[in-house]
Amino acid sequence: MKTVKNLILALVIMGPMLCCESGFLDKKPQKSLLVPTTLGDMQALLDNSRDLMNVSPYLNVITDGEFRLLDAGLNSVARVVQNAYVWSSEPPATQGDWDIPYKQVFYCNVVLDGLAKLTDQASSDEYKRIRGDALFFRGLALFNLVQLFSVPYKAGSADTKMGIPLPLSSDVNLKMPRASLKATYDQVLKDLLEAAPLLAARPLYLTRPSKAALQALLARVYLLMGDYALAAQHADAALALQNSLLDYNTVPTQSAISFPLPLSAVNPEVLFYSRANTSFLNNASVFADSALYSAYSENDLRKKIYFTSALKYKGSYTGTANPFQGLSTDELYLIKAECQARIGAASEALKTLDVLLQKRCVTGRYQPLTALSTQQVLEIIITERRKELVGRGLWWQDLRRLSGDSGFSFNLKRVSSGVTHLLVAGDKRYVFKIPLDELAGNPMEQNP
Amino acid sequence: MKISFISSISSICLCLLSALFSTASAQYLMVGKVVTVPDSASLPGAVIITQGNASGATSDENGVFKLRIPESSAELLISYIGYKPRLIRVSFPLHSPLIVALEADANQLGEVVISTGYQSVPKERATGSFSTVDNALLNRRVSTDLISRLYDVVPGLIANQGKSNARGLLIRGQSTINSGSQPLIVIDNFPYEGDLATINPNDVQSVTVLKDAAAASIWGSRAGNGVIVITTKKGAAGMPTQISFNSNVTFGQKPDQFYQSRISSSDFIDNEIRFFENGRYKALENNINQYPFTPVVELLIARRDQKISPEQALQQIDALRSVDVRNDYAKYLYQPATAQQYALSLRGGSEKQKFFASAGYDRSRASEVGNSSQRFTINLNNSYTLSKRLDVSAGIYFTQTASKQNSQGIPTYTNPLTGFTGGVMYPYAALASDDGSPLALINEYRLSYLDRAVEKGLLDWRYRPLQELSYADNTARLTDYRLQTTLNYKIVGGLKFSALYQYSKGISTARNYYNADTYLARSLINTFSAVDVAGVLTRPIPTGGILDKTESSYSAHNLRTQLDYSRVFGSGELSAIGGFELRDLTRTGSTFRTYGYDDNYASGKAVDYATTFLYFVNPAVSSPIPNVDTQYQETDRYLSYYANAAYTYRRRYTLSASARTDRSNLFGVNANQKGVPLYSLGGAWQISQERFYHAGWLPYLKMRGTFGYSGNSNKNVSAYTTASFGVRGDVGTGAPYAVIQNPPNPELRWERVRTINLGVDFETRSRVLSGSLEYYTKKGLDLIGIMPYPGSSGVKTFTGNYASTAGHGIDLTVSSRIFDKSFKWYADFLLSQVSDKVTRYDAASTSIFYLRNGDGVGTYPLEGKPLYAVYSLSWAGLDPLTGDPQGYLHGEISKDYAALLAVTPENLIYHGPARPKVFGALRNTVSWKSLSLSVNVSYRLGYYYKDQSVSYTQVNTGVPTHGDYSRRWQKPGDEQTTSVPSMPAALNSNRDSFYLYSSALVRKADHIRLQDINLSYMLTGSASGKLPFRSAQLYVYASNLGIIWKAAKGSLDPDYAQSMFPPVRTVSAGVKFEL
Repeated sequence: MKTVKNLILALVIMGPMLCCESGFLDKKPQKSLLVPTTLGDMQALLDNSRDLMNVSPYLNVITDGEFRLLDAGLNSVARVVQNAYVWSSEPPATQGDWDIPYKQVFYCNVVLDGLAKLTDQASSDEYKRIRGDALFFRGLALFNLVQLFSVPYKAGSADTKMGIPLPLSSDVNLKMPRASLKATYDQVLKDLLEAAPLLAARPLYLTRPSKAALQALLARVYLLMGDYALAAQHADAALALQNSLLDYNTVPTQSAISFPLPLSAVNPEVLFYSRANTSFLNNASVFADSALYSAYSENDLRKKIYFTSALKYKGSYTGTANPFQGLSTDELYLIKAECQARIGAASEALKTLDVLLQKRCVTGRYQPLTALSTQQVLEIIITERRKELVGRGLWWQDLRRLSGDSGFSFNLKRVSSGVTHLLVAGDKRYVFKIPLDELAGNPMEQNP
Repeated sequence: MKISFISSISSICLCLLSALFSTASAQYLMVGKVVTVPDSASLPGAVIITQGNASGATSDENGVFKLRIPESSAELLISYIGYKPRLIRVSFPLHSPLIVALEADANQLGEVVISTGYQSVPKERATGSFSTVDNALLNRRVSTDLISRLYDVVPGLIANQGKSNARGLLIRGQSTINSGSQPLIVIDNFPYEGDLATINPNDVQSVTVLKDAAAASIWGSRAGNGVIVITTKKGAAGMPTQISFNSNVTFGQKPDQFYQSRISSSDFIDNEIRFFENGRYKALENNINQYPFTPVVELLIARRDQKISPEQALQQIDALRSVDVRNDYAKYLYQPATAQQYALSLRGGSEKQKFFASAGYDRSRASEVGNSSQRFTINLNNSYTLSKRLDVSAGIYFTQTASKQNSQGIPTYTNPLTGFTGGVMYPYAALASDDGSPLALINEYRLSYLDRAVEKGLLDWRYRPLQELSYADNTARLTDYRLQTTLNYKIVGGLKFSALYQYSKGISTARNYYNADTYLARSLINTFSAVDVAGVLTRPIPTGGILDKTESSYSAHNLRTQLDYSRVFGSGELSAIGGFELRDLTRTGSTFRTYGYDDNYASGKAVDYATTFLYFVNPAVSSPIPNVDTQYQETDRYLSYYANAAYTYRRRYTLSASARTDRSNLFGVNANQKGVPLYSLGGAWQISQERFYHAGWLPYLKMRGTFGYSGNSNKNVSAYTTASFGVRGDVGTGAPYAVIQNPPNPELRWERVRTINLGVDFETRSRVLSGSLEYYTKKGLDLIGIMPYPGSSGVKTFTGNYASTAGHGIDLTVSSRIFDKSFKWYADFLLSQVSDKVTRYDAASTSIFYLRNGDGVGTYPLEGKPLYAVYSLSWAGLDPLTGDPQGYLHGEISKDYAALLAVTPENLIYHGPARPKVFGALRNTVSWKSLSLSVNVSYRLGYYYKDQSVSYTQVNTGVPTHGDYSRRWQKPGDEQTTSVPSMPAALNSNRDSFYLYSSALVRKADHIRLQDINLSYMLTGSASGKLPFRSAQLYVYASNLGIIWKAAKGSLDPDYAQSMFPPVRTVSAGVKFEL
């Protein structure tokens, strides 16, 4: 009798526990479901490069004033592009430059959450590298977003300014509010610094991050934060890993696209591949601004390599019509030079710049730079950034960060359909509006 | 003889038991048994109360009760609803066992025990909404399947059969959008996962339909659509062995091929001549796809090419004008359906053992020539009482179905004007020559081209539908079995432990053998054949037959352990259950094809699936050899805890509560961890038991109300992140890459249905009127829907628990005994009203989807409207000058069809639901002596359907359009008598769409139908005295007898407006013996 009772008790109490312990409910409902669980699955998600992971924002290429859209071509571009072109303050219904970086963040979160469950493999090199890659991609995506949808970083006031939502979990139901600008940059730095020891020295593909790419990205981030010492330090660290420059004397000037496809041929400057998600520069009605074009001297090879004589752009490091927005060594020289100038080493700055510009000048015609004041050196460097980094979205970042800089003042102007549009330094339209579909599903404070 | 033997055994047992107990204590512990008169079957659930002091008991499932009595004598009141109570005086010690026989009380409600699948509850103590269909009512209908026997007899239950997506069995409307809406089917305590067609209705004792939360929520996350609890027949303790045999035969009419209207052959031919004259076929004659031409077009070509004379052509074409292919369909492809049913069963029991055994055989021939099926069922169950505390039972239910699916359906061909394969056959086709031999019809290619192909060495490529029918060899076999074992152990007092385990498995195998002469085999071989310049023929698909084998199976383990507690405390009775349950359901399936199959040696030949081969006909097209092989495996797992308790005080007040938590591998982590229970609360008040209640004309009056939640789960969404790999590597790197298809949803949970149910049960004296009225509201919450998502989440749309529905309704059942003497006239009236609508659905579609699919054809939810609703565009009649259809645009009459079609969804005309808002039945049963006649009339009201009509797009592409073509506007004045637009000068698809989506074609679907008639004659052994059986029943049953009244004009059956034909009339005759 006692045994029967005990048996019943055991069945009633222990039965359910037994089956829970053994992962009864963890069984996949359908075998055909590919549930990303292995390291290979995670890698494959991050290798979704063409359509997602190596895609960058494009609005900055349209708004930075370097390219003109003829009225005739106005109707050949999407409404969101038309609005961006005239710096309209009308909030877009939906905006790819908001959605795509967040989709990248989501993929990274899926990978990071998935890796957290693979603790038994946590010590493998592949595991570490994939984790580093995911952190890098997430940091980059958040950084790209904050350049478009928040005010420029100022050390003193960053914790009072609005940043962006920071989703750090693959749970899409968590509606994140806007974090402060400081918290946003803190997260970007946290991701990147955490990734630093994990990344590959030489990635299998340029679509994957590397140690050099990470240092280059950190240099860019610190520059945008105005922390020139750290920016210089990371630029140096990156250049220590890879400092090769392409001698433009070897680049053909007659090709439809001047540079090779970096993913299949070698471009020694490319550290990390990413393309802007637009064919705007390839539009038949889009031409380089004549002021930009005339800024190149006749000995400057970039004039003929970046542009046709009809001022059509052909100088993307993607080797296609898509603007390049990845990381490359030429930018590092410019960051290093600017930081040197900012911390008072103006002559070193010019020497750094000489290294780059020599490769851009017809052989034997290069005149080393000389300048009088730090401000003049800075102006040279900024001008060179504008001339070197065409189409990379970085000029828009420069316009934003320098608009509060007493030494610089850029006022953009363009005429479209007979209407003159102006964008003066400090204009609130330097911060894009958050798309309406985001606000509808996740109410948050709109940018002014 | 047998009866007396068994009863003497039981007497001895009871004697021993009583002796045992009476000496065990200073009090007198007595044991008794309650049985029914006259069949001596034990009566569970009877209430025994001692007069004077408040101790009492209820009889267990064997009718046995135990009672502790302090005095040496006592008066016991034994009562049970539906039986005349008895007052009995007992004095101790008992010299013989106390067996109390209760006589059924014709003036009270019949004995109704409702089974929830977890416990049996007397209906009088139930708070929830249950409908019970007893054995007699189940057997009123003659059918091979069980579920159709519930139609028109259960309030709130409706089977919508005629409409594509809106069809299906529904209980109290639909409270889901994207998940299954079918009720959970429970057989003998466990959900049934197999094919419902395997259940033999002759083995079913009764069916209980659980409709509200109190009734269904014990089934938790699968109960949201209601639950149908099927209880199979069992033996009974102390029941003399009964043998019964039932056999019947059913004949069904041949389906009416002319049900749907269609353009006449002559009109169709006139259009073909017109197209020919306009040169429509000219370019196609040299088309590389070698499209086939209809005989008329071929004749016209031959006349043009002067191969036949104009007179010959005219004569041959005119001869085709009177041919209608539907006559051939009726003659060669359809037949009267038949069904035969045989069922034999044995049931009985002693005190220690109960048994039921049955065997059934059904065979049926479908309306389609070539389709038939046979079903064989065996059912055995036994239960043993091993000790006074322990009893066990075991059962096996085995069924095997073998079917032939040789019908090829209606032949089709590749219409050259559309280029689509599977086009509707031209109306003047002939399947057979006058002597009945199969004729070739055009199918994929021109006949002249096929002759040339054969000259090059290809196989005969002609298509002879009747030959295909005779070659077809498509069989399926379904084997399904359930093994069940139960252990019941009485721990102490009213506490009982039970463990139930069921293993069920179903294996379905289908074998479709296309022999070497079938069109499919010949055509596939030819399609991939190639002849090189030297004339050498190669065949990537080897000659021979093609064999497709499909196998699917499921296996389910169900384990349940449960504690039951029931006790009488003074004037109160408590009954409670609690337990846990485990389910593991695995489904697997696979399909394999063998090419070059030779049935004599069961051997096939290998083919090269990897290479892409050019097509013989059009070498610009190529594809690999079709590979249909697939495999899948799915697993559902559930782990659940449940509890249910009811307390009844003084037999007047009952409170009930139930709760259940389900965790499943289908749900997300958060849903599983939170373990939010689905629960219900209920109360009932039997007013007629109150002291102040004096309404003698209404001796039974009960009010009840419940509130609670039940669930519904959806297997198409996953809590997991799912991804798919790109077909090729990434464009830039060549690396394999993956795309996320479904974001992870740790919040994914079951859908919930909140139900409030209020009911009144009543019964007048002598049961002249009895019935119940219920009002309910249902809210579908957390329904699976598509939601636009903020970009910052990483996804733009998300399928999750976002939608909701709301519904309410009334179920009324009134039974009346109008005459109840030797002539009896009983009437049963059912009325259900149900309104449901989608209250939240964030992803809106454009108007065209609501117009095109709103008629229940597709699922396009629109907030504020029923899930399946009929919408239209406003109709302004035909233009009197041109016969053009006209609509209203901003209040003005307009023929701007593109603009008329571009209305926003909120500006569509909403007519009403596509499914009945009010439905029910009136069943009249008249009997005199042994003769009984029962007539069921059903009605459906408050809904709409769309009529079909002519489409000039179809006309213009040689598709046989609707017969309204002959009613089209042809001259001014016609608009007075027709709303069918004129033939347009130039094709305008928007004009067609506007007319077909306009309110001109929306009809009220309301109708009354003579559903069925049952006539039976009962011969009882006692009546004649010399018959070799206890009773024999002869019966005749006719169903689908026709529509008595309908609101809309025209010949269509409103419920089958989209079907090829409505269900056919059937007549059955049968006999049932009880030995």
